[in-house]
Amino acid sequence: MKRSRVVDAFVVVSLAATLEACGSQPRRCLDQLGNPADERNCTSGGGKTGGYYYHWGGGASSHSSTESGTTRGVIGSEGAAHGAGEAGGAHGGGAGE
Amino acid sequence: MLRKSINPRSNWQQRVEEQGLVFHSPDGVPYWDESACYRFSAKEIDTLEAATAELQRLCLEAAQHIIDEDRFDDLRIPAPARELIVNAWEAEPPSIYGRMDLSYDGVDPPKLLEYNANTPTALLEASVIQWQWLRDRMPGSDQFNSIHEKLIAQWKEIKPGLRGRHLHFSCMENAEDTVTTAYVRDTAEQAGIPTSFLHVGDIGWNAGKWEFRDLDDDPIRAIFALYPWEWLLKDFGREIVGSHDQMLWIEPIWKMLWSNKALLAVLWELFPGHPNLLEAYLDGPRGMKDYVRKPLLSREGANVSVFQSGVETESTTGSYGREGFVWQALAPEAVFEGRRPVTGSWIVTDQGPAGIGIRESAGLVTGNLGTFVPHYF
Repeated sequence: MKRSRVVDAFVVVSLAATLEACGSQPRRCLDQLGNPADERNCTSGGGKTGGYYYHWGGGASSHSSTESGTTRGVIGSEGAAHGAGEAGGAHGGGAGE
Repeated sequence: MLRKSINPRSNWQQRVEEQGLVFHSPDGVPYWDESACYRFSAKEIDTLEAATAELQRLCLEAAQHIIDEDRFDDLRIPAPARELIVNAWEAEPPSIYGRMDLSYDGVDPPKLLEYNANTPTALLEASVIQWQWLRDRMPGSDQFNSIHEKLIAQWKEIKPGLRGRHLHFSCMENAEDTVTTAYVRDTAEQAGIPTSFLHVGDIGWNAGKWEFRDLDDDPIRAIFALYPWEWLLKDFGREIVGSHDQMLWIEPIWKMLWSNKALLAVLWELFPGHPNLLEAYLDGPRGMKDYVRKPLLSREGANVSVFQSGVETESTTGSYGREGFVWQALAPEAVFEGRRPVTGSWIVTDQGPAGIGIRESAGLVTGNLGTFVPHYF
């Protein structure tokens, strides 16, 4: 027997959250005081009732250094050179094969 | 094995979007195509399953051979990565999955076209979307598909080795990659592993601590990256090599041995005439008249040239080829109602063959315009 029996349990825990970020600005999940919080707080029903929310913008591919000495955008240039982000859709130039 | 034209579900776009397939119709052209499906016999499914297991066995031997005989030059693997590959091969760090692309017509033995072992996609389609299609459209039939539960089972095996480390997931800002990564992440969550997501461009490097950091500036100790190893090494090789011992990368770096199409020539060299392999060489067609020239590292069918009777009859463009080529015999013709299917056979590491997904195209090269067609038996 080959058939899959528990796919019904697929609850899209992380899918909905990350889909919103497709091709958009980077975002962070923050608590009601504006402090960084686990992303799951923004995706698992904690949203409005729990005071967690997404902050959009900043971050990606800027090669900027933060006060902590962390530089972002160090990975991704080779993928971009091969056409990442072109045309969108099923096989729009990502890293998959 | 036959191709059947059928009526799509009236609300198919809504159904597949509900399950996460938001890129079902890029530029208005269906990528997910349920106006047709493939029907297999149980025996044909058994043949595909057995061939996948056999090819995995051969690939394991081929990887050992590449390491033992120091064949890294043939794969154009940069020197700094070689020791890491050897060490990772011996240590067997966690691995999740791979997809073998097979040519199969239901009559002749399945033939390996290539092994997408590092960053395979078309996973959600194979695991979830076609399963829901089966339930809606062919509720009394079966499907070669236990991908979902095998992924969860694999994560459960991996979990103790993480020793409580948070697992990051990362990919490029691309819908297909993001959906695939999100789905794999979902299966890890269902196995009880704490996770978070960030795009590869958001990964930070702290030179003072010599470690990667996430968006909260916390150290990244374990990461699933849908981003090829050869690109990682080009982007930030010195730091990745230097910090490799402190960080768990999934897929592991030794997957560079399988995702490289030089593997095809090594396999033929080791197992000439094997029924599941196609003749393949690294130094030219060696007298073959009908063959395909593939760059060692190309993706999505880019820069592939097809030769028939020694004459180039079809080719694709792209940005690959400077790394070298493999020359592989043209697979036996498998055409159904004018469409050429490629059977993507999924392996979930340690769990075995897990299921198939079929992409088809009109031409001989299955590129980024291929469509995904569901199956049943």
